[in-house]
Amino acid sequence: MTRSLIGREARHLARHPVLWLIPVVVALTSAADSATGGRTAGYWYGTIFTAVAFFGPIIVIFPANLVAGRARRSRAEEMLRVTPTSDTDRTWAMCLGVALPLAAAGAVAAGAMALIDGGFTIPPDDLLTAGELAQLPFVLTGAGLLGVLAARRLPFAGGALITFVVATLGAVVVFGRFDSGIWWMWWTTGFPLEGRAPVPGEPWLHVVYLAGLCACAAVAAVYRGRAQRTRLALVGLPVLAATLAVGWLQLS
Amino acid sequence: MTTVRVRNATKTFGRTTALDDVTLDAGPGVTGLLGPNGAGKTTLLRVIATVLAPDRGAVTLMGRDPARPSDRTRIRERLGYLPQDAGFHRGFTVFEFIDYVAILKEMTDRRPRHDEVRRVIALTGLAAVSAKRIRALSGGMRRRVGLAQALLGDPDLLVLDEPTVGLDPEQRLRFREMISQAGEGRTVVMSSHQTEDITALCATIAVIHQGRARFTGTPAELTARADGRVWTDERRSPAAITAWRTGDGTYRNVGDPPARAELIPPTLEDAYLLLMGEPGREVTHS
Repeated sequence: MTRSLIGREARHLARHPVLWLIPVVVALTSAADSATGGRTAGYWYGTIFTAVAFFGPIIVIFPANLVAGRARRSRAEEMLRVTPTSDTDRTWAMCLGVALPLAAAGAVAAGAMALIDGGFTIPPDDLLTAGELAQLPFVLTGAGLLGVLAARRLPFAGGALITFVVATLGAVVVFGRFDSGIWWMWWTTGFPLEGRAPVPGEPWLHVVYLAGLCACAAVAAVYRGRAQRTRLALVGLPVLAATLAVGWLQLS
Repeated sequence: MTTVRVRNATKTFGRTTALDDVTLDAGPGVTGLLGPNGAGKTTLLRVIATVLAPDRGAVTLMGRDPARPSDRTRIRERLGYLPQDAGFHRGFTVFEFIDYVAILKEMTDRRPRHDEVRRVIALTGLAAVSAKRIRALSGGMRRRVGLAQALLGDPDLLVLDEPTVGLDPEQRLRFREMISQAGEGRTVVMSSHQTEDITALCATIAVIHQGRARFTGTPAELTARADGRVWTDERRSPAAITAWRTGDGTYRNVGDPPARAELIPPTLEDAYLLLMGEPGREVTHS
């Protein structure tokens, strides 16, 4: 696996038109928003948060899936398979090519929110802690990796949609078990939950938990097929165990 | 020197036997696989291109065993492959796509990689369209993109599956020229059901039918098998395995000629048709 390949995959994602729906949707919803309190610093703080923690993950799963699945869709898979770069290396490169720019975008957004917080007064209810801000890159990255995972594990039209629906239904279930299960969620703990106060927990542990989920998605995307089962078990089980352990630690 | 050595290869898909005990050797120059649709040519080429492993039998490519992962990677470093239904990332430009394949072929340094991409683009006559998106190209141009990516890195073994299918006569001639150039100093294994392409390009041919190699030898040897078995007549002869009316109104008959038939020199196509009409016969010329 080379930096050139990772860079190329990152470029393909960055140039994908579906990805650019995020700023369009944010701009449209922002324009439609009456913003009764005025477009204050707090308003932009919340807008950036919504873009990265809500619209971003919902949308990013699709371009990541389309980029990761384009060889299959264009029937170029056989031609590309007969190169010295193995399918495993190609998938790793795809995961990193998707993860790195999304993590960077999340970090930039978190940095922008921290800057706004430093220069202006943000309502305490909206203010995110440093740990919650640190979760943002992993929420975006996780969604992108879920798109890659869907492309590799569900290699047919609609695979990304199925993944999206399952993730959404799972979110509904977690919301239903709000009081006991909030720290298991695969999004940020800073997400406003209909006025309810979040249960006590450690945001930095949630950062590690989200990073663990990202790693699980990448490992599951990379190691597929009968020949890779042992490697999937050897690498995937410790990663999964560590992720679940951190998940439990959040609840204690 | 033998670049491709296939010994008693058998490959089945469910109940279908795609390859049945096939043996083939190929060295520098162009080796052609000839046969009807569904004969097993593509399966054999996929085995040679390391896409598939045979269920039984042995394959050695450039002295290495593709069944071993480390050997397979080494083979793929020196292999170019154009599949029959080659698809392309249609949103990519010609340059972008070939450059992407070059990265997968582990050409990591940007400048030499771009030089190599430009070289194969020029070699396949794509320079004028290198900035065009692949979806805007004709079928013939896309086949050239497929050939260009196969030529990246000057591979020792080039595997081309029906490279001329769907091309108009002019494009076919251009392709022949490119393939014959590619065959200078390296091993090219190509399939076709066009006997003209095989005659024009190949030093060695294998006729594949129902998964078996029915003939292995030179085009001249195959053609010689039809000596004395092609004749013209005013009408279709009942003794002919196959016959057709030619432009001058006479019938070209291929089969076992009657006494005093007006024999004519056979072509490779006549010999091929005879071979297809004689099930169970297998001939190998050394």
